[in-house]
Amino acid sequence: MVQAGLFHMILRSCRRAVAPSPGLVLISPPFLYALILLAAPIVGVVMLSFWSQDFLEIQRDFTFANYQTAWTERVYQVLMLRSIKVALLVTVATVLLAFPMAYFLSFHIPKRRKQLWLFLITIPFWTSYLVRIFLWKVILGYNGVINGTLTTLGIIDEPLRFILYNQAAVVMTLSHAWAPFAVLPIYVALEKIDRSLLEASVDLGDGPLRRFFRITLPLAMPGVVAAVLIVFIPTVGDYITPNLVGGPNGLMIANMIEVQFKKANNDPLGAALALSAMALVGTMALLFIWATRKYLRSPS
Amino acid sequence: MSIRSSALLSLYVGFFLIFLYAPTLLLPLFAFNDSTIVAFPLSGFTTAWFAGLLDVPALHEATINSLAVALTSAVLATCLGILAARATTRYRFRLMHGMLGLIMLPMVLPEMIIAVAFLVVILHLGFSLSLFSIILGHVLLCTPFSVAILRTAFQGLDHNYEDASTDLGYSRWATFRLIIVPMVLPGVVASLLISFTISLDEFIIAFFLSGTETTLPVYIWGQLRFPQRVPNVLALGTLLLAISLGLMITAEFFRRRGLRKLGLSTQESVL
Amino acid sequence: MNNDPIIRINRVRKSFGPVCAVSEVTLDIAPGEFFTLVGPSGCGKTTLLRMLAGFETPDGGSIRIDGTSMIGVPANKRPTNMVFQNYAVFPHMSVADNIAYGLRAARVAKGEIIGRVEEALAMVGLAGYGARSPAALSGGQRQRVALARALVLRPKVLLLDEPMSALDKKLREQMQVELRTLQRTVGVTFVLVTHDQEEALILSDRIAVMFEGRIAQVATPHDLYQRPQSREVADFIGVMNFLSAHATVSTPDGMTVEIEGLGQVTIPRSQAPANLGDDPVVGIRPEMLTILQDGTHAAGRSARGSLVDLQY
Repeated sequence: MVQAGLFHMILRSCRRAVAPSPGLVLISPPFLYALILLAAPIVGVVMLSFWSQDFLEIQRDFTFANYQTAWTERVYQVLMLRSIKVALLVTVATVLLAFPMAYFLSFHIPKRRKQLWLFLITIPFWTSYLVRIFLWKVILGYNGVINGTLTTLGIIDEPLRFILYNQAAVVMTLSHAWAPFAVLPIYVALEKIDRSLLEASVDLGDGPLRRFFRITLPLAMPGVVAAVLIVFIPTVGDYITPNLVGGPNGLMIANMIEVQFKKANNDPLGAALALSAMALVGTMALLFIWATRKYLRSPS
Repeated sequence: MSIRSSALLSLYVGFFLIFLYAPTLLLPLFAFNDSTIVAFPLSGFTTAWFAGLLDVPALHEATINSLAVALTSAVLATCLGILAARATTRYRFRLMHGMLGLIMLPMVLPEMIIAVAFLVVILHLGFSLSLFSIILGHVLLCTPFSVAILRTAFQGLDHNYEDASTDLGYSRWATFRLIIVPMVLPGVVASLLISFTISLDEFIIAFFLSGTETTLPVYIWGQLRFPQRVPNVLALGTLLLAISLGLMITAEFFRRRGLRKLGLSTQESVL
Repeated sequence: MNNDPIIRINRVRKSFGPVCAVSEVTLDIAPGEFFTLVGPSGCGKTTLLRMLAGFETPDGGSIRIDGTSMIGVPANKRPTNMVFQNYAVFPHMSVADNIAYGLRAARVAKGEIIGRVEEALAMVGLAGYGARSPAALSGGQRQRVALARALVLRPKVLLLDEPMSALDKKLREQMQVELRTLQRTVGVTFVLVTHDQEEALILSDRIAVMFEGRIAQVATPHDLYQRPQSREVADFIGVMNFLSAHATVSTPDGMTVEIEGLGQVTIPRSQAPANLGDDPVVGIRPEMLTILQDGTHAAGRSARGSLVDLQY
């Protein structure tokens, strides 16, 4: 009996091996590509982060030293905290900026115009990212658009220095860069709200404000959560903006990772910094999803 | 909503759009401004900055590199995208969501991580950096976008169409050629154009992985250090914006035509 | 006329994983017949139809169409054509190209294609619609295109998978009449799948009622309605009142039962299968009942009752 059962099992697994699902065959090339060129390199980075580097020579002895340095040395702590802080500020600013816009798109634009408006909002995004960030430097600079205009108008005698090369400039520039990405998911969530729910809320006695906080906002939460994640995760690792408009006090962790890999020739420390940042961001993202889970359940 | 709060909201939308468009509108303005200092007031109209782009060999080289990288990446990413989209819309199999998740991961990963991971592997395996390494990275980055676009295209492809074609006498291959390809073609074109645009604009991966040959964004990055070169950069940025916009409008046109053909709504956008 | 069955289904089974969709179905369908497979959703009727078309392979048993075994014959090589539930009219081709699609596969000469497409369009009442795009057609028109596209190939069997389910009630009734007329005109064997018992009764020459992968009864609409062979079938086809009874006398001619409140009733043998036990269930169609005033003399059997509710 047992033997027959075993034989049957082997036969079945053989048959499965001979004829795999056509879907599996089709997805193999893109999956293997991602596995070899994304998953494997990340494993490589993990391994590297436990090694050490002596000038150009990699020492393959297991060590926690890189993580110790990354988490305890003042300079890295400052950069990591600043990156998180800037990303949080950018996220809050972007979502607050984007929500009314998405609300306007969803509730105040006639259906046939919505596509055009969506396109209108995404156009600025198609300016070269580098050039776009650089233009903020031009707008905020010492001889820039804001200072130039204010001086010409006689409102100020001397150009303002505090508007460029600081964290505020970084936050503003990044908020601008991410605005369309935050509008879209919130808009989609608002569009999905059954309009009769809003009418029911008024019918049951809610005023506009109470309706917004009791019905509209909770139902739009999946969009808000998506917007938060879309903005927050990549912002922590942004390189260009702090470099161009951040000044010495606006630099973030990505700039330090680049320094470790290029000028400082300390790849293992760079790897440990990158992974630490990723772990921190990942944990925060998961905590956020957990905290908002009651809004994310789909009605079924 | 009361008239007053409605007016307030409209006012806000006005400010939001100004904020959103400020850099984009200033770009062509200063690109045609006859002054090396980028500030108001404007001093006069000139096309000199555009003309100045013509005699920079390094720029031409970077442009050709960028076009080659973007074209190759777009084609490869779209091929991978077609396979993943077809596999996940037509079939169900074990670990499908996990596999799709890994393929889509680069969409949410900071580019810095991808760049660093690539750098580590390429250098430690003893390969040298080249345009090829940039292409590998860009394909990884573009594939999720391609998959997202093509999945909508393939989802519109009810498998009854394939059954009907077989039932009417065609083989699988003929069905693929006569039914599937024409129906998803607009999606394929949209995927090619969007991947091309993303690759053309990508900086971090190109910056980390470029050896002696650079792409356009890396070239621009180098130029930003020289104040006297800034107007040229702005002229170049204006050109790139025009090209990107052209490609995007074409992509959106094809995508919508495809959806209309399939009798689907065109309400949802690419992004 | 050749009276051999055009379709012979013999002990066909099909499972999807642990779910048994069709089990041991045996069925003969005569040439020129309008045959309907009816049953609740998930009863295996669509799976059986798709096995006839060649989209699903039976796990066991045999299917012969016009005397030829269909085992291993792919869908594109079978003498059957199908009208799909959502019609599957190719959206990127004109109406004429849709209808010519199968003719091109069969490498019919160009000149002949034009003629046959015209003919098919006229047959379904869409003459002059050839150049239109399917997007510009209504649901009913799309269904006609799907019909024309399948019939233009002169199949031996036309398979129809819930063709009316997407149409509204009025259009559905109109299309049912047209479909029946069309079938009589072309003389092709139609095999229809539907969950709508009314539609099955209106359209078919014969009906097979399916429950959970098995055929419960095959009969003409009249017999199915008048002489259902099981409570399940009686319940599914039309409306039926069920009363529990007690058998008193059973002879070869019939069965006498005692129904509570109604007294003794003798049921002819043709409506009372011999193997019923001592406590059978008796079904009465509501239209067989008449309500009379108190004291009025009834022609047949009568019982007293009170009127509780009235619906129009």
